[in-house]
Amino acid sequence: MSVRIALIVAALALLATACRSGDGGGGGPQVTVPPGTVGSQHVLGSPQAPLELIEYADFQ
Amino acid sequence: MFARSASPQLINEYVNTGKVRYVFKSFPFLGEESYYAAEAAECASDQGKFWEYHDLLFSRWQGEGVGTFLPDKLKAYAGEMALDSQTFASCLDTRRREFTVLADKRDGAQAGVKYTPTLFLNGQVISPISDYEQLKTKIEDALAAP
Repeated sequence: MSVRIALIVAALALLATACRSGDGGGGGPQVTVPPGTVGSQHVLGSPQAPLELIEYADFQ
Repeated sequence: MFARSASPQLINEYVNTGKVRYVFKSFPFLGEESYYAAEAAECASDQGKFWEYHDLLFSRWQGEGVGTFLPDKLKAYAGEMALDSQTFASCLDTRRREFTVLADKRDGAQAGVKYTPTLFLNGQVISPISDYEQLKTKIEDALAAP
C-alpha cells in the first residue's frame, strides 16, 4: 500500500514539473495575450528602405 | 548570437545607409530570465532607452539561467544607464510590459519562429545565419533582385 502511495506521489511530482517547464514555445508560463494586444515597435532605419529585416531574439 | 556579432556591422553598412529597416522583436523561451530581460527592455523603452538597454543586455550575457538577468541585476543595469530607478523597478516588479513581450512572442509563433535568433528578410526566413558575411550575401542578393 505504501509503495502504491509513493508511486502516486512520484507521478504527481513529475506531472507538476512537466507543467512548469512547458509552454509550447520552449519554456516559461503559458499566458493568454488579451485580444488586440500590440507587440513592441523597435525599429531602426528608414521606412523607405527597400528591405525589412526582422529579428526575433531571446536576450539569453 | 546575431545581436552580439552581426548587428553592429548590419546597422553601419545597411541600416544607416537607408538600405535596410531593422526590427527587433522579443521571443523569450529559455526560462524566466528570458522573460525578465525582455520585459526590462520594454521598461527601458518606456524611458526612451530601448536600444541602449538592448545593447547592454547582450554585452552582459554570460549564459542561460546563470542569474545575469534576474530582476535585481536588471534594475542595477538600469541604474548604470541613469534610468529613473523607481519607475523602472515599478515597471519590472508589476510586470507592466508582460503583454507587450507576450504579444511579440505570439506574433513570432504565428510567423513560424521556433528558435532564436530567427531572421526574416522581407517576410522570408533567412536564418540560421552563421556570420555577418552570410547575412551580407543574403541582403545583397535581395537588393539585386528585380
